[in-house]
Amino acid sequence: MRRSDMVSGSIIIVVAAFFGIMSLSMPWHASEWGVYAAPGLVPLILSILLLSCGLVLILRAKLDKAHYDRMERLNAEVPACGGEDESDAASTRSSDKSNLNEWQRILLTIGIAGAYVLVLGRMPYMLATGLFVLAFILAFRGGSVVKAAITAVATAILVWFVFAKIFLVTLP
Amino acid sequence: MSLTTFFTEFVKLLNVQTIFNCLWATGFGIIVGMLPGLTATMGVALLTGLTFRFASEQVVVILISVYVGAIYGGSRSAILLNIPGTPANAATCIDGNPLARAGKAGYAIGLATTSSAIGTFIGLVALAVFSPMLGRIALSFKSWEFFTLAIFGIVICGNLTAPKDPLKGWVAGLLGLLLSQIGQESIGAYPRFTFGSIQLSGGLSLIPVLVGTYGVSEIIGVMKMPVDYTVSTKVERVVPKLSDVFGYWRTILRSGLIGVIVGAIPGVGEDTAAWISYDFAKRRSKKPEEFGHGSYEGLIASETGNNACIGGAIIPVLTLAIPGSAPAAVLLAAMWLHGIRPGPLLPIEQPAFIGTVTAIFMLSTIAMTLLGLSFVRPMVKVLQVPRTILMPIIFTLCAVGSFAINGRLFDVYLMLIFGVIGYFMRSNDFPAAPLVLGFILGPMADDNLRRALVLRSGSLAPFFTRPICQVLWALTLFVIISRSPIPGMIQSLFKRRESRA
Repeated sequence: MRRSDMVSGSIIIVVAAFFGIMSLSMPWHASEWGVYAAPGLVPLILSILLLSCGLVLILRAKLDKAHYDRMERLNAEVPACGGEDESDAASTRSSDKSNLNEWQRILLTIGIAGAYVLVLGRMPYMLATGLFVLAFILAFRGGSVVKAAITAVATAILVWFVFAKIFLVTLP
Repeated sequence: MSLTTFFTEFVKLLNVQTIFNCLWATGFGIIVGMLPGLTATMGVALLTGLTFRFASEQVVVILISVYVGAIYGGSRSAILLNIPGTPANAATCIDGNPLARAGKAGYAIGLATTSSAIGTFIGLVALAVFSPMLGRIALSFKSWEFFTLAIFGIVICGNLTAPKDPLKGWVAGLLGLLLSQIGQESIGAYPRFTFGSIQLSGGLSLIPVLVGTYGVSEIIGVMKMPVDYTVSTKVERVVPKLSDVFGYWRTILRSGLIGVIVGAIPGVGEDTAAWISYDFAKRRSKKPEEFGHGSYEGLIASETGNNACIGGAIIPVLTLAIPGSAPAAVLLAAMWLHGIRPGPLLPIEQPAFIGTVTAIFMLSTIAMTLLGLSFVRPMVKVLQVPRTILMPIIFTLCAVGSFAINGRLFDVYLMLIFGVIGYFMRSNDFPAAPLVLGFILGPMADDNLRRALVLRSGSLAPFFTRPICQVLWALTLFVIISRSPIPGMIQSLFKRRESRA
């Protein structure tokens, strides 16, 4: 957690510095009310506050080991919730047999979703949606090709019908 | 608000279209709440986009019904799977799941339904009684109070939504405030942080940001897990004995009151309300040893608390245009989108609106109770749909919901970007609620600070001399000083030096 706080703190400092520098480059005396109505005033204040929080986060990760010991104790004290107990009424099973690790699953989800978002508007909506659902189920090995294809076609048609025809929503 | 106004508004709602919309939206809310990973905020945000073409009064009915349904629906998976359907139901797991394991799953669902209904009712009574009172106080709010209130909201929300590490809550809140500054500002129409992009000049749209932060990030989180779940518990008797519910009337009233108060605090939502209600119930119980082993009282406390919070969270929405929780933030945004302007002037501009909202709450409470007690077994079947099939379908709905409001693909890209940001924030313990609250309160803080400075030629004195500001600053400073990590850092620095010496 200390390492991830160092990384988070660094990202926060970079983001805050970026917004702060951009705020300073805005016009500060363009209006008749001068600096009080300047567009960069509030973003600059917020950037400084965010930068300070980022610095505290980094300094804490470097200096305050006791905080992380305390956090570990607190995390251990949280009441069991989420199916850790093997005697639970709910049993766990795997609907996807892809044998991917956590990071691969995250990247695969973002990757397929990203591809879908990029093709939206460039090909017919129903085709893009059908292909996305098909690719998603197959990539995570959530079912046979036939099952995936039926789900994909049904989803594409149903979403189009419900939202374009009943809810009168514009589709991408 | 008088009882006559309430009944007049309630009778107006009794038409086929409204009842139909209330029923399907409550059912949809229960399903969204029930599915682990999908939250009430996501349900409300999604339907805001999808119902964009509906008449405004129907949209308010639909969104309140989804909100009520989702907060209640999460108790199903908490009881059956020991996985809270929404964060609001985390405390429900502790006693709900042991009851299911003892063969009383249906009964636990019945108790959760009844206490959720009573909780929502307490919330709506509070909404009817306190909104006009707070509304009168809100009329005296000027720029100084609104700016101070925005800062107070972020600090309190950051503190309570990240109780173990408030610094991360404040970072999330500040980031939300900063992101809300993107786009043309209100005084001089200067385009801030737009890099010449027309898409960015209108600012980041709230609905895609919310759908991304709460929907897409949850989809990524759910798909990360290698295992699924199945329900193997039998669901039998559902309707609870009245003595089992009303025997705990003190707990119900206390939890309802806690829910309303926590709900009214900006940005602090149902999860906090449920935990505090549960904790109080355990401390005051005659049988504290039963808590964690299937106590009816524990289950009733958490479910009453989280549902009462809904009414509480709507009070500041209607009177101050400040959301009491993350789903209430979306509700506020949806009202803006449909031309309803909540805030101090609402009772003057739309005097019946508080009555209408209260009546909608009543209708959705009835719908929730009916659906909750009657379709238990078919609804449990939804939990058996594999997530590899469910998640891509939900993602397509997220994309449609984000696209629907402005009809531009830029918002769908924004949704995905915020989904990824939201996922990494959450996995590093940065809460999402302060980010959303900051995003909503940002323009208010910006306008009011600059307006206040212009009005008094740059003098900061009114911020500290006006009575409401003084109270809010005192509370804000108290929270910052008491929860700041800096004293701990200094202490450990000294300890380190001493040990070296």
